[in-house]
Amino acid sequence: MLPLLERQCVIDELTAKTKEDVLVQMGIRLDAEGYLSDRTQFAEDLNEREMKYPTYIGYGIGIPHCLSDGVCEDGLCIARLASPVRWSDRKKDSDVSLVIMIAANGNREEANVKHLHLLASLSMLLMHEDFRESIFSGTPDFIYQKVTEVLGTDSLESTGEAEGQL
Amino acid sequence: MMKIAAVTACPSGVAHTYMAAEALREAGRRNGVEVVVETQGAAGIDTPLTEEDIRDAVCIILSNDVKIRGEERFAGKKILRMDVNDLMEKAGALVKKIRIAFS
Repeated sequence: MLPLLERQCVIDELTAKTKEDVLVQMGIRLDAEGYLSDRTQFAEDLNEREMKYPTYIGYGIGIPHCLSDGVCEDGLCIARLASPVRWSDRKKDSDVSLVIMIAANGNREEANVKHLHLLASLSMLLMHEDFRESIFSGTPDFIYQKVTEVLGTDSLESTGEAEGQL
Repeated sequence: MMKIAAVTACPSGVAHTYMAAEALREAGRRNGVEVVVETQGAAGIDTPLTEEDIRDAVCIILSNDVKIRGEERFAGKKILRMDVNDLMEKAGALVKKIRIAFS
C-alpha cells in the first residue's frame, strides 16, 4: 500500500494556463506514482464534482477531490502554481495558487475509513490560518514533511458505530 | 458558555463536511461560544452529538446539501440551514450573529 502522500506528489511552480490543465497535470503525476488504475475515469469523476460546485475554498486554495473507481490507492497531490488560475466560473475572485488534490477509492465497501479520517484531518487543518501559511511559504520538502506529519495522526474520534458500540 | 450544535454533510463526504465543521468550531473558539459538530461523511458519523449537546444548544446548524441523518433528534429546536460552502465562508459571521441573537 502506498503512503497517502509521496514526495514526488508535491509539485512546486507547476506551470498551467487553466484549471483544466492543472487537473490533467496533477492526475498524470498521481498516475505515474501508482495511485490510479484508470486516469480517464478519475478525470471524469473529478470534473463531475467540479461541475456540481467548484472546489474553491477561499484563501487562494482549490481542493479538487472525488471518490472514484479510477483510484486504486488513496492519495494526495499538492501543487503550488507558477501563476494563479481561476478556479470557479461562478466567482470572480477565485484565483488559485495552491491546489490540493484528493484521490479516494470509490469502492465504499472497501473504503479505508482510516484514510478518510486522515484526509478529513487535513481538510480541517486547512481552516487554520497558520497551517495554510506554512504550506504557502514552505519549501516542497517542508510541505511534504508537514502534511505527512498531519496524516500520521487521526484527530477524529471514532464513533464505534461500526462495531455496534453505541 | 453558550453552546451551538451542528451537523455537516456533503455530496462526496470527503472534504467539505470536515472543513465546514472545523470552520464552525474555529468560529466558536474565536467568539467564546462552544460549538459542537457532528460530521456525517464518507468515513461515517464522527463526533456524534449527545442528547446533552442538543438540549443545551441555543440552536442547531445543519448543512443542507444532502440529507442529514437523524434530523428528528432536533424536534422543537431552532434550526438554521446553510450549504457547506456558505458555512465554510461565513462561519465566523454566523456564530457572531447567533451569539448576539441569543444573549
